[in-house]
Amino acid sequence: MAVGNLEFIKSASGTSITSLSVTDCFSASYDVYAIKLDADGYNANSLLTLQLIDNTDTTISTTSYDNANLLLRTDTTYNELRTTGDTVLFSRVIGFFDYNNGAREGGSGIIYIFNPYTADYTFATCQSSSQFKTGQMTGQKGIGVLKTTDVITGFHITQDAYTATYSDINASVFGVK
Amino acid sequence: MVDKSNEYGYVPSSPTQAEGSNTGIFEVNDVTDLLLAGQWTLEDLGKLELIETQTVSGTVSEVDFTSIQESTYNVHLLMLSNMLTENNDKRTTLRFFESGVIETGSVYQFGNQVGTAGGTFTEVKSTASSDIRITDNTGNDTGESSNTYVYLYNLGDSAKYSFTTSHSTGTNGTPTYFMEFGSGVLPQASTVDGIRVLVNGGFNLTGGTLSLYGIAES
Repeated sequence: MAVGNLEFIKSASGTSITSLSVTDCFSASYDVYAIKLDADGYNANSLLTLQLIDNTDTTISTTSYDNANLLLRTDTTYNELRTTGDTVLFSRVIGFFDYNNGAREGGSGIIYIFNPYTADYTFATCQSSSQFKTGQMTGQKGIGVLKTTDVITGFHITQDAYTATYSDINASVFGVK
Repeated sequence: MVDKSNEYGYVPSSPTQAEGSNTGIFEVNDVTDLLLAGQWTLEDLGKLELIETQTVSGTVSEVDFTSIQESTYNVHLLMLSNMLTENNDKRTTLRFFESGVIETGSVYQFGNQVGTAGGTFTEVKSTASSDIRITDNTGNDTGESSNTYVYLYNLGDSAKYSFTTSHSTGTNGTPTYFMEFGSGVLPQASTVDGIRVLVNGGFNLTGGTLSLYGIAES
């Protein structure tokens, strides 16, 4: 088996959960991290957001984030989502889920985090694919930045204005060598 | 860590270790202690694992990956390099094998964005496609090609849909430099055990290097 340059760090998952925190996954060992994220089995309308956690295990929810994303929806014109001074790094980390019209089949994506464990801004890119309702899917591609000098050690997947319970959210974190 | 007596004289002194700046030599006892503490592993830490590389030789209608180890990997990465099409302005696409049977129905969905150096950005999407689009139309003159990466999710999970995200760059037949990114799905809960790379519309490939990787999660 060939050895590549992606090194597994840790994974976290939950069943019957509304959010997921992954702590102590970023360190001085890597400059760049890849996060694989899956979400499935929601019981109400929902969208998942992503925030960063600092080295005191505090979730950063101040208006310190900027982001720009494109939702590539098959049902309508693509949506540009962009905010300066946001409270989240990504406002749709895996698209969004329309439970009431839903195939309810969830989605998956990859997030790259750059330089979290330094006293510099933390940058990120995100891409995902999801079946947000019956017969329709949405892609998502975006960028985000945390414009503080906090040392970042983890991340928090949560919901903005929704409280759906998920039967499956799982995240795996890799260091990029 | 055990005390180092240096009784055999192999290690002149025990170095002072600091996080992130390890120095010196690990003795057998050190490794044993670190293993017990869960701070040393004998596992292969490289988790981007090459499954197979195929090179297009001559003129072919498709390239199939039929041993994708879908029960081992939840996420696959497919790299398509220097993909050449026999005919001008044709594009490479994806189909999946479900339990060994190729899915050719108009069941795939995708939502992509094409951007060109000529200044146009275009939405391309479908909810009833016979394949997943992963790149724009590509020219077949000298030097023209497409180059793409695709992440593939949940292929081996029979309870979940199979998702993709992709990004490509290349030159179309104008020729104009382009990029295309987007997402796709086979909206069927099934076991996908193979991947076909083909040219939309039944045309042929004449070149390219295709590498499939698995991303191990343990």
